[in-house]
Amino acid sequence: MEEEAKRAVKVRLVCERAPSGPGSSGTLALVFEIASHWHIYWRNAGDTGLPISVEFEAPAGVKIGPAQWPAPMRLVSPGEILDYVYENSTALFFPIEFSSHAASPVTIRAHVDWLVCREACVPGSADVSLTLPGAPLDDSEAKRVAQARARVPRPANGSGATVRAVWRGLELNFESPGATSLTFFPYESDEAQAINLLERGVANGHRLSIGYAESVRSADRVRGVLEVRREGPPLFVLIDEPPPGSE
Amino acid sequence: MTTLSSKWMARVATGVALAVSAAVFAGSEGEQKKGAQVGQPAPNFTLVDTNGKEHTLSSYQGKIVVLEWFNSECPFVKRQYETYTTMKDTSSKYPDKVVWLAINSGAPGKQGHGKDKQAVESWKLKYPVLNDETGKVGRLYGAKTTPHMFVIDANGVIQYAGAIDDDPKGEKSYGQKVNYVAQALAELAAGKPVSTKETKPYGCSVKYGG
Repeated sequence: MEEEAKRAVKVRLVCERAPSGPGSSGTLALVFEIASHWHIYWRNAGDTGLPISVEFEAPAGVKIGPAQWPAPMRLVSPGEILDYVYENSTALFFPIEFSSHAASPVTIRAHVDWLVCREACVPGSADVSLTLPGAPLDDSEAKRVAQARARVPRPANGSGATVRAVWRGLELNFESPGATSLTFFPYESDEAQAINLLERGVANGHRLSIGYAESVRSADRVRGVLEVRREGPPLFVLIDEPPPGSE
Repeated sequence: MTTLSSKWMARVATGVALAVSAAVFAGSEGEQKKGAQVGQPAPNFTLVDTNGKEHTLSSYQGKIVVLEWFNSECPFVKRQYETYTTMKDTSSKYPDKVVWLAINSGAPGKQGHGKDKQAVESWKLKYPVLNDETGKVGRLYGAKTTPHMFVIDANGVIQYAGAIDDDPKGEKSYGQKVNYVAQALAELAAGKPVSTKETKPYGCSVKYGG
């Protein structure tokens, strides 16, 4: 099983959009290929598990920004355990900026840690590197990157969906006209703790109500991803609300 | 039949209600509200250890009891026994005051099932590992991860629930980590209130049967 686990995740660092030279910016993609029946974890792993973590080493004049995470899927296990995971493949996206002094060629290194689980869990890691711009992606890799990109949440006005988020007491109420179902994935937060997402995190129709513990009042922001299903492919909307009672 | 005054009836009704709630908290397994809550009495249970000996939680009243949800094949558990000696150190600090019970709620066929006796031997455990393969006690407590820790005071009330420490990735050195269980035990042993009563547990999922 340990052997199988070692082969369960393959990681590669590629360019999604190459910076064109000093003073320009682009995007890197850390692409994960996950063996079938195994999964790795989102930024908020859920009840169990551990999120992917990445540390970059970049030369002077090159700045790498925080990860953009594609929306995960819900994985429910016996014992009412709810986790947020990736299966098959995913990619984390990182903005990269070249200052005017960035020397060439630029080699980026990353150390990646994850927990991969099937029924059992095995920690894994990899050291990857990329000398920009890197070789063009083959078809299957380009497809993986595009599929992951489509799941990166966007603010409501850029996403093509109309989403309203309104607090009523400690409940955040979402409404998206025309939606056939809504699913909410909360970001990790010490203060903003959503309650009973196993039962309340997904609903049919165009309304979804998420209850929070009292501690949410001291959160800076309440954030997460709303998956909006309707005709056509699902939309992933970035939710970023002030805590309740701050109007 | 004599007519009773309404005041007397109200007192009888209250008395009955109190008697019912006392019976519930006295710890009969089937009637307990699911999910162990900090500040509430710990749900009672009886489970068998790797030597075939029965352990009933309520029989340890008068001692502080620590419950450790356990799976000897889970990397988060292994770390606390092989990279660090957290569980053994924490469990042996107050030998006369603290009872430590490890519980394996993994179902037959799942990771870690049937491996407890081996773990007791190879890790030289001085405390029992209890068989909860039906998952009944795990679900009663809402145990989600291995490890998932509960500290129950000498009166049978849960005073801490959650992670063993603040280091899910195992990257802090021994001295840098906060061991929430050791902290709670020190506070209880000194007669002080527990300062951190609840944290989010981390680890592998408990391998309940489907």
